Amino acid sequence: MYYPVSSVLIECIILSVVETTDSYGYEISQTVKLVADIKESTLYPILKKLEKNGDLTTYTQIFQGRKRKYYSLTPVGKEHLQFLRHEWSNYRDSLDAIIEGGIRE
Amino acid sequence: MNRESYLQQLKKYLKKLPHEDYVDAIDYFTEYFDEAGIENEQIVIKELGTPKQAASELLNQLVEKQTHAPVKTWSMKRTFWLALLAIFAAPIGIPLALTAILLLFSGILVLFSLLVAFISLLVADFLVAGKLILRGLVALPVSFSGGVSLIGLGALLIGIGLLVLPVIPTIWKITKRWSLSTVTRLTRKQVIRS
Repeated sequence: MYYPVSSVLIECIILSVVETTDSYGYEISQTVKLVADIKESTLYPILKKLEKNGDLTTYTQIFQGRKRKYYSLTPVGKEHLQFLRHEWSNYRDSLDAIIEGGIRE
Repeated sequence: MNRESYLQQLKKYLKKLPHEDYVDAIDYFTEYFDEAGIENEQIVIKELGTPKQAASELLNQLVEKQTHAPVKTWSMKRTFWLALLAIFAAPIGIPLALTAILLLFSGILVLFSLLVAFISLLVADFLVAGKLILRGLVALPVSFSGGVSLIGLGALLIGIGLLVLPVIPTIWKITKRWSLSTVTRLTRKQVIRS
């Protein structure tokens, strides 16, 4: 991807991924990498931060004889996601208006 | 490099993290390798960058993320009280800390002197044994029984010396472990303080 993705946007993406169904590190990471050129060493601290802030909770499940850590959205995280979504659509709309519509101040 | 040695090196660099964070991070990357599968091992390693680089990025960002956390609202107040406490406690605290450090160091010194004493004792033991055997050999033509008992005494001393010999490495190990752990404990506290 040519445009860099900010860490706030990555938070929004992560929260969206786990919104309907819980997910695990690798799956989340692969989804984020569809749009962002991001390293695991950057992604992991963001995940960790979301967990520490109470947006995500984790639990471990056995998958094919080994542990897999699942992330799931908390009520706090849901609220945070709503806020991030709102901000994102405002941002996207303004951006589109400028880039495609030639809007000026 | 394979997955094992990669994780091994990552572990080494991440040791500075608090234990819980360290375990979490290592679990995460181990799981990541598991999910990617053996066939993608090299791709994952390439993607992650060198262990040193990945670890330093992780350390930077984990620390940064944590200091940005809600600590700020009450940390000012807390720092103030801590500072006040430090000032008032200084007349007692500093001599106390000094005493503790000196005690630890004297502990190390005691162990060291024990070690030195043991070594000199053994050296003396072997020297005396050698002397006794020589005297015994010289005395043989004069008095056979006297010579033989001197040689026997010498042999006995050598035997005792050999029996006691393994104690030295043990003392040495204890001394080393003790001084190392003391020094690391002291330096770690200083890092937190600064």
